[in-house]
Amino acid sequence: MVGSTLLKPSPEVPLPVEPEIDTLHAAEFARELRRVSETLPPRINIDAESVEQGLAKLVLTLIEFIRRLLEKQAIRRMEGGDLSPEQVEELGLALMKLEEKMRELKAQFGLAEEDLNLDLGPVGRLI
Amino acid sequence: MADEDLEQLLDEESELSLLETLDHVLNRGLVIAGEITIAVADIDLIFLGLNVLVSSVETAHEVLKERQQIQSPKSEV
Amino acid sequence: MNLYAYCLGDEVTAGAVENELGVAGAHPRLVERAGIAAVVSEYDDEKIAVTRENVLAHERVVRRVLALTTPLPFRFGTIVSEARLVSYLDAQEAKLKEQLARVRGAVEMSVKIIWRPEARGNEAAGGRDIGTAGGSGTRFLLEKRRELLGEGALKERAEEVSAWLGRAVEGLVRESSVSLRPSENLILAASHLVERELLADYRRALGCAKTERPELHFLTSGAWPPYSFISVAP
Repeated sequence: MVGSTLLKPSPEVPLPVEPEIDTLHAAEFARELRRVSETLPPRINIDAESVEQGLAKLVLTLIEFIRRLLEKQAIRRMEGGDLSPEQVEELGLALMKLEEKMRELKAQFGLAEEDLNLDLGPVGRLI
Repeated sequence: MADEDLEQLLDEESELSLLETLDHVLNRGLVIAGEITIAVADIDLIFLGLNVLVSSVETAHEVLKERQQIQSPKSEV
Repeated sequence: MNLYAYCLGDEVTAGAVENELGVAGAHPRLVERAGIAAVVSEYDDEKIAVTRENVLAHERVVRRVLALTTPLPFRFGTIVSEARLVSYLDAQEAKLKEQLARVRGAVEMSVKIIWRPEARGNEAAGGRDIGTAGGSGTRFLLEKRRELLGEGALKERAEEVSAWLGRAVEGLVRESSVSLRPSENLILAASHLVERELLADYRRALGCAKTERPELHFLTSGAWPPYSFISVAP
């Protein structure tokens, strides 16, 4: 029998069976926690349709990651002052179109903003 | 988890308590590789699968045999 | 017939849990291996729905154990065959015992902080003035830049609050696990591993700290089983 001789006596601080929750802003936190739980990943179905869906998600996530990098890069260059106003305009238009295209693709696959992410474990999330 | 289920189940007093509990029990805790199906897309599934294959005790053959006996559990969120 | 797994520990006895009602109304029992006991109950399906009833049943059983000793809780929804569980315990014995030692005598406390948008002030202001000439492309980039600056400021705020919280509970917390900006308004979600004997001091310190920062909204909860302090790779 595991632990019968090792069992410590009940700790002096008794722990309630219900978690004690203490806040002055219940509604506000409920709203935020709902938001957090809504971005929980969906279950996995191992069938053809969701393999395709999973693949689309992966590809779009990577594109999204790169797209955001490009935006940041463009902003840095704009701030750096080494772009002419015409170049800034052209860059902005291109990125704007890219964002629009991504929005279309996401809609096509029924993916929301929060769906596009990769959990890299201890390293954190990609986006 | 279907929206209507969530609405039904939650009442004002314990909504926060349940949400806070969910935040703890759904995203963290011990995971037995290959058995948990609350996972992120196919990437996580592959990741977990690989870990099952390299775990020290079982050979790949045993793992595959056992996998056939256990259909992948599914969870509804 | 499968098993629903709640938690495991090396100081768990069957007597502690067998009278509790678990998932699907089943009474928990132990599966013991390599000096570790897993708390399980019979479960006749391969999936489980995330319902209030099931989640509370899961928590109820783990807390029953937590009252006596600190276990390692399974993630909700862990359904396995007994054979699979036993081989898991065999394979992970060393790592599990290491984790049990890490959390022994302690519990998890949770602190979540919302930073109210009104209190944020003009975070988006700042940065070099680029000028307003140009068409929609330029405006697009300027807007993105504004968003990015706001983001940067928020990130700094989150780090500042995190550092402040760390100082507030210094010496009372064995380990910390902090997530910065887990959602729109949640600036921080922290988990603290606290010795049972220090719980009263911890609560007091936290109570004091809250009063120092009226612009922050707090949610503190606990004690929890150490869900956030498990780093046994699957």
